[in-house]
Amino acid sequence: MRVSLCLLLLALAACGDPKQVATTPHVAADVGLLTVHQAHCASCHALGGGLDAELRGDAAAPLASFATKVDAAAGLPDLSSHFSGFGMSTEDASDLRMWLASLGGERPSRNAAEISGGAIPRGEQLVRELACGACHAPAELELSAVTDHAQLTAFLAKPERASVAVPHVPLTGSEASAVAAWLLREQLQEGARAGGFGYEYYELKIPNGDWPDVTGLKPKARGVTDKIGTAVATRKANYALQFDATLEVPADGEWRFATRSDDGSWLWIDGDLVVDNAGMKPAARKDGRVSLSKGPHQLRVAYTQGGGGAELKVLWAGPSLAEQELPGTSASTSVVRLVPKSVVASAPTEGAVARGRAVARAARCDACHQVREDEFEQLPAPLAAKAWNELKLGDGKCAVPAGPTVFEEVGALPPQLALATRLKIALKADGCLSCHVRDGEGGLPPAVRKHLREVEDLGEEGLVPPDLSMVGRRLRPEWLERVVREGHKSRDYVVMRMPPYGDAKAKQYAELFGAVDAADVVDNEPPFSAEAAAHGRTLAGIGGRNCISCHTMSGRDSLGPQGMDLALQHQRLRPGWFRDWLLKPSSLRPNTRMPSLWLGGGEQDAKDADAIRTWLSLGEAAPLPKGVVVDAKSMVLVPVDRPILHGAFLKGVSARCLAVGTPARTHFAFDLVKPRLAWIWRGDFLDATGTWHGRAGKLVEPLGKDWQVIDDFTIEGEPKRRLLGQRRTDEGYPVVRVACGDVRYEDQLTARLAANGSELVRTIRCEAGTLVLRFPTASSYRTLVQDKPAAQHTLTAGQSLEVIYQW
Amino acid sequence: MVMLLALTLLITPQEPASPAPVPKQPLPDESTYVEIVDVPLPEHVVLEVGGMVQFGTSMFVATRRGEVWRIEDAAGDKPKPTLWAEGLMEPLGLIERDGWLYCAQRGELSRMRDTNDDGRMDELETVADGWPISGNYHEYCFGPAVAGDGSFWLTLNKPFGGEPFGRAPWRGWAIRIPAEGGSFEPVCAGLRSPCGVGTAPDGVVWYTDNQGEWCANSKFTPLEVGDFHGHPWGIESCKLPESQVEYPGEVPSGLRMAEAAKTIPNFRLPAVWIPYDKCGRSPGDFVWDTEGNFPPFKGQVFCGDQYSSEVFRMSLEKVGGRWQGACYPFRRGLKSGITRVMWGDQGTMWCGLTNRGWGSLGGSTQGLQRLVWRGVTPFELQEITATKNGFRLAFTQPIFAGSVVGPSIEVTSWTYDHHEPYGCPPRDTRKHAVTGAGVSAGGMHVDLEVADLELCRVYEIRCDGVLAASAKATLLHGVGWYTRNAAPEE
Repeated sequence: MRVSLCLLLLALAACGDPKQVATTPHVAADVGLLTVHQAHCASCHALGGGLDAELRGDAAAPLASFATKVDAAAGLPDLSSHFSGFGMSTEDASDLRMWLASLGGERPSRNAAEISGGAIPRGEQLVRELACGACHAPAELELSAVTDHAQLTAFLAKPERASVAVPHVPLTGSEASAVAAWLLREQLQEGARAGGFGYEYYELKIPNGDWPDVTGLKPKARGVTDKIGTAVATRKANYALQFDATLEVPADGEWRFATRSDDGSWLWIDGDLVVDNAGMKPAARKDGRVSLSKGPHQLRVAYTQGGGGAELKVLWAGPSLAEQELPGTSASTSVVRLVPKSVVASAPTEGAVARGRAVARAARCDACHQVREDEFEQLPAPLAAKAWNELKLGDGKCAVPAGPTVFEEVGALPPQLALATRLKIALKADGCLSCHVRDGEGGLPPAVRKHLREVEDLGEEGLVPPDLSMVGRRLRPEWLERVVREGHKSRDYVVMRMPPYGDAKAKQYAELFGAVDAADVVDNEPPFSAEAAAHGRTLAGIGGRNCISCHTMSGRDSLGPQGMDLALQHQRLRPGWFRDWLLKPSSLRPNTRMPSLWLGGGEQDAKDADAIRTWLSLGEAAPLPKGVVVDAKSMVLVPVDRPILHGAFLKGVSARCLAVGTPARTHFAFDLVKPRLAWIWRGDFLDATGTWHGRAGKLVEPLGKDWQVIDDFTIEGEPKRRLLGQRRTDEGYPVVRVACGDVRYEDQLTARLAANGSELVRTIRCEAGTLVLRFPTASSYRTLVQDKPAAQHTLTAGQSLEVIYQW
Repeated sequence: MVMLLALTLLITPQEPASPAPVPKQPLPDESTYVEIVDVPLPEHVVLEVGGMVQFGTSMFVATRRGEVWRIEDAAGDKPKPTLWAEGLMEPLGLIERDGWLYCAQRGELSRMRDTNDDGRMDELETVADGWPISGNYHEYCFGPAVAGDGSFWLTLNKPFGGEPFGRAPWRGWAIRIPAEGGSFEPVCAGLRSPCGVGTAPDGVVWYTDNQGEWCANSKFTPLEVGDFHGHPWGIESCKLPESQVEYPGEVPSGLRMAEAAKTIPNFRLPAVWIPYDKCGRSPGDFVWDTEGNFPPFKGQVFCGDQYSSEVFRMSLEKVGGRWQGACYPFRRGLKSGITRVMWGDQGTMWCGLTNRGWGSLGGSTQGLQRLVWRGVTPFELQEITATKNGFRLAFTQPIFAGSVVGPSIEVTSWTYDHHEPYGCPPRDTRKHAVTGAGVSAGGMHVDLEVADLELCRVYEIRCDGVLAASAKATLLHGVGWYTRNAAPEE
């Protein structure tokens, strides 16, 4: 069922509209080729050269898939513009529908849906913010007549065909449900409200008697229940429940509400807290009074369960109502019903079916759509279509009445397409220019644009998808490929979403953009030096060129508008563009919010720009610049100027560990039970919540990337190692001091920036006795001593060994 | 009726028996005598206090986040905190000896110092370790307290819930580490959640424990080698060679406290039961007022509560060779649970606060506050001591003897069961007849004769009706809870 629905939608999207072609006033050469492409001329006519494959376009939906959709009485599907493009009369179209209906298939049942009343406005908001109108006309589809909420939601969440002229913008399940609700709003049954209480069930640690912040948390379950209680919870401890309903109050007067709960509960009427029964405690009752008018009021009840006994009861009493548990019948959730229209099966007459078949044959529907082979067996074959370059005006009857006009305006076709033309056609055909501008073409219609939502004060750049002019010079091919393949979006502040186009299109665009925009560009990465990286970091920070004023860095907030993350820019931008962009941004993009920070443009300025690029080349290891916003209330530990040391239980290591985070964003952890190096990793350091929240004691794992579990050296004879303590260097690094038998040694690691990342330098210094170390060979990281793999090393008192960890 | 008459005759030596009218002025409250002063600190300084010590001109505060903050001018208007050390594991104690700061981390006793005087700790020595950790959040390690012989004492909380690295020995124990470090001896077993550990003026280390399973009620008890304090969680460790506690055998659940004391080997009754919800809920750290910082209560013990955000006091006496005594309300209203207390300048007490993980009264989750004695002596029940046939009540001011009439002093007692369920409500509650009440010559004491006394019970003594001789003021609190494990022979 779902297949045929989506095929209907896709067919609408993919079929060119021949009528539109006829009204195009002037056809430039490139656009002419596009017209040929969109009118599917290649379906009938051989175009010659490499053009057939280039201009054939995507396949249309098989005609049988429409059979279950046809509602002849209602004149559905309403493909009138499509049909008239083939010169069909209303009668022809009606017959064609009859024939389509005869093609068989099982009609899906359509079901009523209960959805949150808030879904319809939410759906409308999404349709506007995501600029669906860039591709869809406002009332393009009479979806209320052809589908139901469940089917449409499933289609919107995951269409079964990708990469057509209306690309699929990714939606979450709840977004798809909301958009479907808005599209089907004509199915809304007035006055139909389901009884019961809507609820959301969250599983989370309940640290104390307060209502936990569930903002942004995904409910483990949601639904409707006819009783407020703990029965909807699926575990015994650490969860929260929130119930919402419209309460039908039967009389004016003073109403008393009470909750009895173990642990905390709260009750609001119309947003006012009436019962505050907070706390971690055995079951206790709290009352509250409120004056209410007869009629609907908004009820919300919240509940938390830490551990132990669990109980929740809500009672009410009022004028002429003795105290009783709040029954589901007096409340209604804000659930509404969408009721689909029933499908009127057409009763095709044989004559009509036969006529419809003949219409389809004459219109050559089978040139684009798949049709069962035997359908047209009894009908005379139409004249074979000639190759394009053999056609002459007045040759014969084109199935598309506007065809001769197209032919006349396009004229002779070139043997193959220029790269720029291929790119242009592809951009148009794939719908890219419905949202993006390139070389002044395309972009959102003003009626759609005006509904976009602005998140950051970044002007035009913060609102619409980026201009694609010179994008091949701007973006590295790998990055371009990623963006097209995954629909990756670097601009968090643009609400609109980039659709994923899959691997083949990604490769195609990376190649075309590169060939068209950057054939002559020679890009060289600046050579790496740790000094340049440090200089770049200084420039990016406060007191330098203040990049951090407007750009986020590695997911940390900037001081002002949250512009694009600096940490992405090395892998994203080509080196030449990067330098030019820093030195003279407005020459590359007039009206950009990016300021010109280097006014001279001399040699030193270019060096500065390169230093910033070198700093960013460190990727996850790039030290954070001064001024980056570190949320003091967050428990994510962020070393900026000094190492951060954190004592914690580390998962899989031991309950007595020391984790060390460095400003080089390259981190390590010691197990202090058997003093040894346990982990190394890069990027973000640690979330201290496991150690700092509640009574804590959660086993901690690293944040960030490149995590390596270290198989540390052994000591000859393996005497029991004993922790003697730690020194701390002036820079704040720990030096772990260990005894084993008669030997004493110190163990210290520091992070060092290196090309494309960082390395750790470990210094082991023997203080007493003779220390014989043996390093195991590791597969996922390298341990080097004087550029050779670390193996067995003997240290006497006073001697040190430097081991480099690279990974 | 006859008895009441006799009593009235007995206790009205000078003045007529008609009770004087209570003055109608606004009554003084706790804040009249003890001021709570907040220590203002910047938002990024999170002082979830685990330990506090004054050293040199600075105050040092160890926090549950594994940091040690050094605070200059802590008692001033603009205290200046700087981060002195980090990367410790939940240090829950801090003391100074020989220029080193000692703290208990979860897995070790450490000492730290700043050798180059740059304001940052740069040397940390592991004084002793070797008690394993299972990785359970509740394996807190409190201390150290330094005993009279210079040894360090730590108390090890028992775990609740999962033990990701396996069950560890010595949980629920007190351990002793020699002054020179290196090793530890497990000396007492059966502790539950012993947040307070401190040293009495005679050098003996005491601890407080929190009500829960196998801990019928919160308590205050000296730690003496070989004692079993009742919680069976860690008693398997008694079978290990290092144990200094004899294995008590399987601990039966549900014995009356007197029975438990008689039948469970080496079972230690607390010196003071701190009745749950009457006098806080979860006692923390305590200090002896040897200097008379709060002058009327010189010699008594002041203890903070982690839940009720109050400081209460305790008086102790040795009866039959063992300590016992009473607890009394003192000052409520701090802004968060009190884990640590420490004397400051004359007449002041530092209170280190945190309620993370359990919640408390007061509007904050952490911080530092001070109690400041205002120099005015409140009219208070100063102390309860045991007598052979009852109790002697001492007051901070002479009382109006005429107010000591029959119902003005009420005595109620109860006991507890030693059992596995969480806490124990009062058992076998009795109201006791007061058969005699003799006011001393200066009016500073009342000797109560109480009927039907029994040992191993808590006696609640309420003297709300007792008035001061001057201005006929009422008592600020007028209640105390005395733990009568033994009775004096004379």
